[in-house]
Amino acid sequence: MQRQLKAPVLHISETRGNPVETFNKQTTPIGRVIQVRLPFASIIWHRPLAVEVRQEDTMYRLPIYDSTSRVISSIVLTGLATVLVPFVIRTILLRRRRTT
Amino acid sequence: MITDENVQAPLVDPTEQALSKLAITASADAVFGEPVVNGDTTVITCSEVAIGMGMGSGGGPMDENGKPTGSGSGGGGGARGRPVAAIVITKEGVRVEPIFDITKIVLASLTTGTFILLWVGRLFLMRRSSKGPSLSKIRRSIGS
Repeated sequence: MQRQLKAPVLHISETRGNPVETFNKQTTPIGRVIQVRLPFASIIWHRPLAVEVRQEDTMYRLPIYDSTSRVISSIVLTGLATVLVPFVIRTILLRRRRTT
Repeated sequence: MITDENVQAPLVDPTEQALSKLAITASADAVFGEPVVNGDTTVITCSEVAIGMGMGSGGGPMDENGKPTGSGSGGGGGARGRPVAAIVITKEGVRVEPIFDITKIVLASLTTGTFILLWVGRLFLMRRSSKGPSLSKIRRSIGS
């Protein structure tokens, strides 16, 4: 009987781009792949993670940030805080007034 | 004993096959561009790639003769990619320059601004109603 291969639902792995050698430095870009596999659906998200720089004996990593997403997240969070904080304060004050 | 005849190829459904092809598309080459050399500077572009896919099928109930009344299936998928940063390699060192998507940021700001205005307006209306009837309501009641 044939068996069906079962892949894990969530799979996170790292990928490495082609190393670039310039000025005695070896630069290798590193990415991260997040795969979500469901029986009839799947999502693959691949994003850059960092740059690995190798120079003689030293090696260091420079992180790659998604600035657009960070700015958008901060805008949305600020908006939510602007709305929720006065709403919560108002609710607390109303409750206090009712109890007194 | 395991022989070549006993070993059977694993069953992989069409979805898996399509997904494995998509996974190849989302390889490191898809995320990191080819290095562009301009004088002493080398630039590598970094993009974010997301691919999604889904399939579904279903069938209707059986009729009096035991035959299915109908069935259907469908599928869909989408992919998106956008630049995230650029790796700049110079004599001085390696640095990562972020790439801002101004359109997305402006759209998010406008949406959040509208949301804030609506909620603040609602809060003011609620405060008015909790204080008592408004001046216009009193005038209307006097007039009638």
